[in-house]
Amino acid sequence: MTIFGQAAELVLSADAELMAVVGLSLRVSLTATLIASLFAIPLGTALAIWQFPLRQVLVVISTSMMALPPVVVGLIIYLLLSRAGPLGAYGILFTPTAMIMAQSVLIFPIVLALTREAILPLDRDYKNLLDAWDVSPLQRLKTLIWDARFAVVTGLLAGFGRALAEVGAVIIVGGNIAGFTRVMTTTIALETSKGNLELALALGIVLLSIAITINTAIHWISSFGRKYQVKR
Amino acid sequence: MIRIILALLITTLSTAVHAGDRFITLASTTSTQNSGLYDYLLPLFTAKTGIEVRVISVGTGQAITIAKNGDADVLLVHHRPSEDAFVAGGYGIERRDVMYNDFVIIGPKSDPAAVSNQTNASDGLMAISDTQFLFISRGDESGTHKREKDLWTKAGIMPAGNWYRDIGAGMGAALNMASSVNAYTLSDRGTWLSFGNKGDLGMLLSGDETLFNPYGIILVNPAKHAHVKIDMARSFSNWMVSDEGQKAIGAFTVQNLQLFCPNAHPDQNSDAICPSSKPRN
Amino acid sequence: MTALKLTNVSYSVDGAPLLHDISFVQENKGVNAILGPNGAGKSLLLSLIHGVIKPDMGLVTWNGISAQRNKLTRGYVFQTPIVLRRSVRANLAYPLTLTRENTQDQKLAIDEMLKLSHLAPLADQPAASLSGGEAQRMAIARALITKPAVLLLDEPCSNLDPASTKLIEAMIRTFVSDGGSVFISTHDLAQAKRLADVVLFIEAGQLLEHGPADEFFAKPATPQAQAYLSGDL
Repeated sequence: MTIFGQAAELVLSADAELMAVVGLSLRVSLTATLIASLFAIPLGTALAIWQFPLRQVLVVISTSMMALPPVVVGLIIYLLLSRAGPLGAYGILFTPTAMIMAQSVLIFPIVLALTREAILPLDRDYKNLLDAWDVSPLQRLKTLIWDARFAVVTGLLAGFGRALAEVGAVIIVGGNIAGFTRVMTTTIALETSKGNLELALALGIVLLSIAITINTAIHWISSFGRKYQVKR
Repeated sequence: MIRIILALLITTLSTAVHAGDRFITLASTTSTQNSGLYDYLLPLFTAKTGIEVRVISVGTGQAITIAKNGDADVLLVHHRPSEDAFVAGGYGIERRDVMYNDFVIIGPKSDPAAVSNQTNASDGLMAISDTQFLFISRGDESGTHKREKDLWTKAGIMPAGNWYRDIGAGMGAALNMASSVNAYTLSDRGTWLSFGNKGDLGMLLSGDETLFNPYGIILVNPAKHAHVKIDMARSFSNWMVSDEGQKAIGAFTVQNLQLFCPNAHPDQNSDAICPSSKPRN
Repeated sequence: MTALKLTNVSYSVDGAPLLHDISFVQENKGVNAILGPNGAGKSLLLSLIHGVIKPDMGLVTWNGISAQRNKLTRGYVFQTPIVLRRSVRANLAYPLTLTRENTQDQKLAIDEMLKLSHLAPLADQPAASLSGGEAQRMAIARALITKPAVLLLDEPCSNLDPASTKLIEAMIRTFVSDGGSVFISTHDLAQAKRLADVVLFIEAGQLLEHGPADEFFAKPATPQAQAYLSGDL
């Protein structure tokens, strides 16, 4: 059976274990994306519109953080959450919460940088107008984020994709525990290590299909509101 | 919108906090996990005691570090010197023998280094070193890797050169690579039997007593880490060495071959329990 | 009647003085045209009067209150209209959301402005798809929707055709007849003659003339103004 056939069979049989793994992948990565964006979108906008000392330094640091290897992030979070570490008493290690924490840290710089990129041209366009109305900082933030929302959401989706696809961070802080902290990517890694390459590839196709479905849905939904964007 | 986010946050966090307390964390090795033993064995224990066992399977070195940090309640690995050091350092208590399996030398079926002609593992490795055919070493301080190093030492050889590939990875990765470049490597029998990408490789040397691979179970010392679930951990350890647990271990097969030999009570009739993989003595 | 007062206002950029020691008082009524050659400082003066820019030296006050305050009581229209990436209707509504008017009043105000700017048929179009003239009418309507006392326009018709210019001048006249006052900078002398009650003539950062429009056009007092009017400056 080809790997595509295998992938189709996996999905259609609605294998309980697979469903659980897919569900956890989505839950962890979606939550992490939302948490990271909650901070990264306003901060990215602020970085775009306000001058302050050290602004350039912050921009360079945040862009460089996009190159953080997931396994390094995982290691740092592990050291924080380990019983031997500062946050050990909360018993968060080897749970989905730890995975969400690690992925939030991973995604944050991506959404921050992409939000900043999305807001910069709009701020350039709107600046004089908003200055003339003496718009408050909060109002300016809301106006820019709303009018740049499609580009901002694209950044958010990029972060989500990164989270869904990574394995280095979640495998360290989650422990890849069967039935508890096992997600799609760690399952693929596991099956690969067992030499079950076809199964691993089939799972990879399932993962890709999910990502495509989600991105298509977002694209379709956003097409409704796009007409007010500038026609170039 | 804010409400959805908050709902997600609360659900996630509460899952972590209120997750039933009736579980223990077992730090063990990828080879043990990948053999499928735990998938078969642990449900039996949970059915009997209601205690869930969460397995973190990593390399031996990492498993021991996790246990030292108190991030696990019980440790099950297969490298006696490391286990003894763990206990001697005060990190673990009540070490017991549980089971053993063995290592095997894997290589291309054509066996260009004529490893299968040798009678013991060190001679087999020497043959590979002499002929300089590709050898994949895990290089990750795992039980398998440490055994490999011991065997080289016994052969009086420091392996070096282009033919000796130190990859720093797990058993599966090593076998995948050996399969793709037709190389020799040392593997545990369990991972080898259940490995899905054998390619042109075959098992060339086994049964030598130096390939004997015993497993030990150790409780993480509550004196070092007060939060350890010592009672539940002990009941797991007790079950593993009990008649019931030992029998279950012996009953586990891969492709109809028994993989592990229970040896918690070696004075008992272990010959009968372990026909195929018992090391020649 | 509120009065605009400038006292010794100066503004420089990178050490180069762009406006130099400008002082005047202007009653807030009618149309005040700011004339002068390119680079004289007309746009700058408008910005200072509005309050969006602060002078380096001197004071700008409206009825005694600093121009830095109450900016929403003064509408500003740029030479090239800045449109929000929203519908025309949403553009008009935006300043009202800043002042937090209730939605019923908002709707009335928007409909009134759509009528004034003759943009009702385009109300739900993306503002970005408007022509230059339509966008400028929208910008003026948007500036007027908060019922400011003053409207400031920076060469609003310089890129527009005569038809659009006519519509915009009509909007300005309506605003003035309703009691508002206007400060408009322009190069179009015909437009200035049509609209202006008062002329402020600026040249090289200095206020050279300030007086009734008909007197200025009939007999300008300074040689620079004469040269400007005859196209020699």
